[in-house]
Formats: sequence, structure tokens, C-alpha cells
Amino acid sequence: MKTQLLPNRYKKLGWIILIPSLILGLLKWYIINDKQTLTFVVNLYYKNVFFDIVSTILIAGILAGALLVVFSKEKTEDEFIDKLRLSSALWAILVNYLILFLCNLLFYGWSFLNIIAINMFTTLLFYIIRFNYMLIRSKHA
Amino acid sequence: MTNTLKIERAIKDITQEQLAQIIGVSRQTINAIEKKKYVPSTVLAIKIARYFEKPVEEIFKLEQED
Repeated sequence: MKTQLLPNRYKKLGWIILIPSLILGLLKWYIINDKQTLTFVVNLYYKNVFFDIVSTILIAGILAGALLVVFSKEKTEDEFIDKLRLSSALWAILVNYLILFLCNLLFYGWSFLNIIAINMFTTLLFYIIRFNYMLIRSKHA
Repeated sequence: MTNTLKIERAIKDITQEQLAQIIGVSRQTINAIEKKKYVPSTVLAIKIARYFEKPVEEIFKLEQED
């Protein structure tokens, strides 16, 4: 089973896009508490609807970066890594939905909306963490 | 599935890395097979058996649970 993936060089590009976007995103959404820093309000599409385009750009960065990292080949590809990839993906999906299920029961209203917002990224991020963790573990065995 | 890969490798006196390079997989794959953490594909099992000049089932054996 050979999987179709991007060439290895896109992985580096993915990390370069992902890490800064993640850091800026965390800063902007959770750490900085004033409404001015890192925002740029624009008025697009609708006459009286204003929204903050920096959020859009950061989310695009996180998603694009994560996608590039996930879907690029490793330097050495073989069947063992294929299996690692598949099992990491399943694990990430399972963990993501289990946590989401629990959060749905425990959080309500705006809190829950916050969680859904994070849930946009968590499957890909869980996969990245799990895959690389298993890879490093197999290298050290 | 159990295997005698480690023993065969010791008989031929080559490292995991060397075997991996000859067969065309990563060292992690050979290591995972030896540790019984990974069952190789049919193609890989045949390649390995060919290298050791033995029939596949002499190196890779089915276990009770299989």
C-alpha cells in the first residue's frame, strides 16, 4: 500500500508556516487580552459587518502548515512508516472525538463554542504529535 | 507471527543497519520485526528469506493465535 504524499521538502515549509501561526494564534486569542493588539478590522462582503482578518490569516496558516506537515513524506519511506501513519491517524481521530464527546457533556454556551473552535485543529495536531512520538520511539528502541 | 530473524542475522554476522540497506527498508523496520512489533508484508518477508537463502517459512512462522 503506497500512499500518495507530497515530497519531503514540503514538510519543512509546513513547519515554517505552522509554528509561527500557532504561537501568534495562542498569543492573540488567549494571552493578550486587549482588543487592539494583533487585530486588523476590515469590512468585506457585507456593508455593515466588520470582522478581524488577522484571525482568518492565522487560522489559514495553522491549517495549511499542519496539512503540509501531515501529508508530506518522511525522508525514508517504507512499509513500517506506512503502518505508523495509518495507526497514528486512527488514534488521532479517536482521541479527538472522545474528547469532543466529553466536552459536549461538560461545557455549554460560549465555553463550548470556544472548544469547537479549537477542535478545528486538534485532529491534525494530535496526529502530528502521535506520529512523531511513535517515530522517535521506534528509532530509540 | 514469530520469526528467527535475529538469529539468522547473527549467523550471517551483519547489523540491522546493513541488512536494512541491502533489503531496501529502514533500520526501524528490521528492528520492529525482530522485536515482534511489526509483521512484514509478504513482499518484504520473501525478500528477507531470499537474502538468507532459506524458505520463507523457515524464518517466519505462524503462531497459535494467528
